[in-house]
Amino acid sequence: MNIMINGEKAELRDTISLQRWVEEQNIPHTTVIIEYNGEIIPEERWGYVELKQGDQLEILKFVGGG
Amino acid sequence: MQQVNCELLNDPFEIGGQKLRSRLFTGTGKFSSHELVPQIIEASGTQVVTMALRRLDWRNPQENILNYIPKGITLLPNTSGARTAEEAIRIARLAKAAGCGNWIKIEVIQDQRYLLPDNPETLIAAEQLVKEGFVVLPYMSPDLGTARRLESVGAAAVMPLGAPIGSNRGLQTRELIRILIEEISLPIIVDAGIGRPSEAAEALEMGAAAVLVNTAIATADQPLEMAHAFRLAVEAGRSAYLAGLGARRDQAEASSPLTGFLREE
Amino acid sequence: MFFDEFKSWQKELTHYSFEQVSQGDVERALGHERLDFMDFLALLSPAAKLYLEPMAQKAHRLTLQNFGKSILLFTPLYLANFCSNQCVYCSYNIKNKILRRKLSLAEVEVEGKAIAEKGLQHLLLLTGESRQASSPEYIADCTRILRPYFASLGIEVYPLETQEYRELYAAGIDTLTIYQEVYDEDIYASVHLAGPKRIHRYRLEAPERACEAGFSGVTIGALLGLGEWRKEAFFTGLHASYLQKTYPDVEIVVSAPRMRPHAGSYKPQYPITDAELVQILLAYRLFMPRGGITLSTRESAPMRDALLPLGITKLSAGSLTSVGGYAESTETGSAQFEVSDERSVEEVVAMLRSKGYQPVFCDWVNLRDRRGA
Ligand code: SF4
Repeated sequence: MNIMINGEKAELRDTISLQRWVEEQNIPHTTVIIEYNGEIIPEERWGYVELKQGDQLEILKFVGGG
Repeated sequence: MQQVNCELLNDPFEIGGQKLRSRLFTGTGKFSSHELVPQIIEASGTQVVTMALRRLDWRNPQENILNYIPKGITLLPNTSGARTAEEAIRIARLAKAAGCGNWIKIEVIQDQRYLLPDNPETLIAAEQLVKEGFVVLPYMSPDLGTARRLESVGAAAVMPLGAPIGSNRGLQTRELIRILIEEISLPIIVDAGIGRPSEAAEALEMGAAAVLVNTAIATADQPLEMAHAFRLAVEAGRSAYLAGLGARRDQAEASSPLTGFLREE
Repeated sequence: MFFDEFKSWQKELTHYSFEQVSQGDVERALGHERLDFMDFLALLSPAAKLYLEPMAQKAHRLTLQNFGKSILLFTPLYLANFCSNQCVYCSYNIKNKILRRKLSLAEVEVEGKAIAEKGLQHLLLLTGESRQASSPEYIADCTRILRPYFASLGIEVYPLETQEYRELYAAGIDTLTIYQEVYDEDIYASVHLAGPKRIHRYRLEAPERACEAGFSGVTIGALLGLGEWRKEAFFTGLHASYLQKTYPDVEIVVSAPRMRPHAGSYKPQYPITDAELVQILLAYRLFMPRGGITLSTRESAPMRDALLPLGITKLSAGSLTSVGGYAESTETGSAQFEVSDERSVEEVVAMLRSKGYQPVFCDWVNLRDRRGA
C-alpha cells in the first residue's frame, strides 16, 4: 500500500493508525503538526485515523527562522 | 506643561493585548546549534522569538526548535515559504494547530532573487487571518498605501523591511519607514536588513516600535556578545527617541528677513 | 470621529498654560522635522513671539520645498445672502436690514461667464445659511449651470448631510469650505444667538461628512477674533491634521480669516494683531508642511503681499462679497464683509509675477461629467 508523505511516496506493509505509525517512526510527537489529506489532525485524534492507499500526509515541525 | 506631556506620552508597547518591555525581537534561523537559542534569548532580553515551519525529515526526525525556547517567551511563527496568500493562511493555521499561540508573522515571497515580500498577497492573507482571530504581524515592503490597508483590516503591527532579507545592509528604506512611522498608528517593527547595532538604534531613534534581528546576531563571530550589543542599542535608541532628539539647526542662509514688515506696526 | 479627539484635547488643555512654554521649547519645536502637538502648542505660545523670523525662514523653505513658487487663484461667487442665523459678527445676520438677493439661474450663468472670462478656473460658490432660500437643490442647479465654465467648483454654504454632499458632488462640486468660526463651545453659543447654526457639533463634523461623500478638498478655519486665538489656532490645526490622517486622499487646507468690519455693532473680543496673524500662519505651516493655506481678500493688499512667502498656497483674487456683481448687467445684493484687497485679477497676477511667483489658474480639473446643464 502506497501513501504520500511530505510529497514523497512511501510503502506501508498493512493498515495502521496514524498514531502507531508516528510511534514506529520515533517521531517526537509533541512538536509536529500533521496534515492528513489536507486537514490538520490534532494529536488526540491520531489514533482514530487509519492510513489507507493513496492518503497524503504532511508532517511539519518548527525550525529556526527569522 | 509637564503634566500634559506625561499624559500624552503614549509609551506602552503593546501588541495583541500583550505588553512588551523589550523592543528587540529575535529570529532563530542560521544559528550553529539549537543550544545557542536560549542563551541568545537571554543575552538579548528578547520577549518575542520567530521561527519557521518546515516539512519534517520523517526518516530522520531531529529535535524541534520549540524545545529550546524558554517558557514565557512569545512565539511568532512566520509563514516563510509561502508564495501566495493562500499558502500563508495555510501555514498560519498549521502553526496555530501546533499550539504555537495565535501570533503570526505573515511573510509572502514570490520573488526568489531578492526575497522581497509581495504586498498585495500579504494584505489578502492579513485580512483573512485577522478574521480567524490571529494577531497578525505582516512583513512588507514599506509602502504607505499597503500599510494603511493593513491597519484598516486589523493588523497588530506592520513590519517593513530595512533592506532585503539577510543582506545586513541597514536602513536602506529609511525615508519610507519614516513615513510609515509618521502616518500609521500601529507599532512599526523594522524587520530584515538590520546588520549592526547602530542601525537598530537608529530605527528606534526614528520612532520605530521595535526591530527584528536574526542574521546579524546568528552570523556574528560571537553571537552572544552581539545579542547583548543589540539589546543595548535598542534601549539606547528608544531612550533617545523618548528624550527627544536635540534640535538640528536649520542652516538658514542669511536671507532677507520675511517678517520685517511687522516692525512698521 | 474628530469630535472625540476634540473633546479629549479640550480636557488636556484645561491643565495647559501657554505662558509656561520656554524659549527652549520653541527652539526644540523649530528643530523638529516633524512637529507633534506639543511643538505646535509651543509655536503658538507667547515665547514663540521672539522667534517669528526663524519660523518664517523655515516656513518659507518648507513651502518652497512642497509647493514651489506657485499660488492657486480662485474667486468667490455669492449666490444668495438670505440667512436664518444670528451671528453677531456678520452682516447677513437675519436681524440686519440689508438688501437680500438670490441670483436666478440665468443670472448665475451670466456671472459665471463673466468670471470665467478673467481666466479664473476655480470658483467658490457661497450662500448665506438659509436652507429655505438657497436649498441644496438650488445649489445643485447652479452647479450644473456653472460646470461647463470651470475646472473646479467649491461650496461654502450651511452644513449638509452626507447624502446631500454626495448629491452635490454628483452635480459637480468637488471642494468644501466651512469655517467652524469658533471652536470654544461657550463662545460659540454666545455669538450664534439663534438659528440652526447654534449646533456646534453638527458644524464641526461637516468636513468629515464631505470627505465621506467623496469631496477632493476641504478648507477649514476659525474666524480669528472670536475666541482666544492660541487655542482656536490649535484646534484648527488639530482638526486639519485629523482630517489629513483620516482622509489621506483629500486635500486639507486651512484658512486664517481675521474679523473684518461689517454691518453690525459687534467688535472682536480678541482682536488679532498683524504679528499674531503671522505667528498663526507660521505655526500652521510648520505643523503641516504639506497642507494648503489660503488667504482671503479680507486682508489688505500690502498685508497679503507680505504674508505670501510665509506659506500661502491659495489666494482669492478679484473677489466680490456681494451677491452677483461680476457681470455689469446683474443687480447686486449687500456684501458679507468689506474686501480689503480690491485689486483686479490682472493686478494680483502682476504682483505674483513681480515676486517671482507663478499664478496658477487651474491645478486640478474635475473630469466627472462636464457636460453641465
Ligand atoms: S456668518 Fe453665515 S450663518 Fe452667520 S449670519 Fe453670516 S451668513 Fe448667516
